[in-house]
Amino acid sequence: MNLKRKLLDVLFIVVLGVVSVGMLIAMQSYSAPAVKRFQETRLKTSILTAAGIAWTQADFREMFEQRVREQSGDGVAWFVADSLVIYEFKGRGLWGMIEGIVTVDSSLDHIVSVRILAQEETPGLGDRIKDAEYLVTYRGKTAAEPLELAIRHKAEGENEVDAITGATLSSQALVKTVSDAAARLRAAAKGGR
Amino acid sequence: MNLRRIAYTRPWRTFIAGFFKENAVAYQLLGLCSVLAVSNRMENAIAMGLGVVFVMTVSSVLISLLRNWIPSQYRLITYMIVTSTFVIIVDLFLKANFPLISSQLGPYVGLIITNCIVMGRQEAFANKNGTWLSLLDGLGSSLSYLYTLVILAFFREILGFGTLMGVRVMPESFPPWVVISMAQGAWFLLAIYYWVFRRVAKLKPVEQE
Repeated sequence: MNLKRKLLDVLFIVVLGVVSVGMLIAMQSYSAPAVKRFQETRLKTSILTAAGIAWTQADFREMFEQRVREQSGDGVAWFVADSLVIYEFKGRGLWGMIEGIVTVDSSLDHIVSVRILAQEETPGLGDRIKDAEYLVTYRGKTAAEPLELAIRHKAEGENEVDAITGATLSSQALVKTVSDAAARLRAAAKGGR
Repeated sequence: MNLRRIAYTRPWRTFIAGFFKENAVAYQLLGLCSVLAVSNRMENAIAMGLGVVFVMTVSSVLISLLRNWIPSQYRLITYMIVTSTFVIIVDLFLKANFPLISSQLGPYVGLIITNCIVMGRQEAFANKNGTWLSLLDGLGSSLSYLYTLVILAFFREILGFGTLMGVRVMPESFPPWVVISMAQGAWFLLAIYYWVFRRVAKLKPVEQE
């Protein structure tokens, strides 16, 4: 009797689990196309903005087709628009992944801009790494050697970037991610020239 | 039935207890972690609050429907499976339809699974009561969480960012109080909220024997 009771209990949990998994698979297949479309939109519009190309919600796909070329080498893919080279990066932040794009000039020596597409840093503190006011400090920094974080002093020279007060670890993570991305891009793109 | 009578019916009392007198945050002191984290902006607070309202209402109803079949030793596992299923559905729904809000909420939507209000009400109420009452109980408790989040976010966004729903309301010269936008700073406002709420709801401190 006891065994039967136990088997019924297990059966209940299994049925519940199967129903739950079924619902999640249905939801996943409903949301996956929308999520994918959003990510594609986000990447394309960010690349257009980074390249200084005007776009609207209606025509950004055509603009992207016309003005941006995708290149690859050594298993690394990057985008070229006018004289700018744009590379999508992904790196570990303090809590989650930081995703973004870095734009460098045609010589691959200097950073033109950095934009963040997704991050999970502390709200109100580390998440300021995504703010345009902070990211502008990356403008003109070197892409040829690793960047360093300027802690407790103002960034001097081309290889230093200011830290955010109260968010040193997130700033550090972003500096490392951007440096690594620049190095990867240089290694792949220089090799092809 | 006139309105005065409704106030004495069981369904109404169940709803209003969770909604006001036994406010999930101010009286039961549940779900504080996400209150502190997500009440920094109005948009986040509304999205998170509605997520909790959905998860809680649906899962309370489901638990009360299943209450005669749930094996008592495995009831916590059952709550977990039911709750997490609906939480992931909310998370995917936000990702698909409101991607910007979803990215701002970050990990907190997923953490509704561990929100004590949900599991607390399932164990204390939905597991023992009928479907209709459980629906009202889940709705009342989760709406109390929603309005608490919105009230806190109203002040925190104005003081911490100088904006409301992303629109600037304070003059440019107003320096944002960064501490208020941080989770730690929320305690200051939460303490004031408790004080006002307990006054308004006429909650008395527990008598010490």
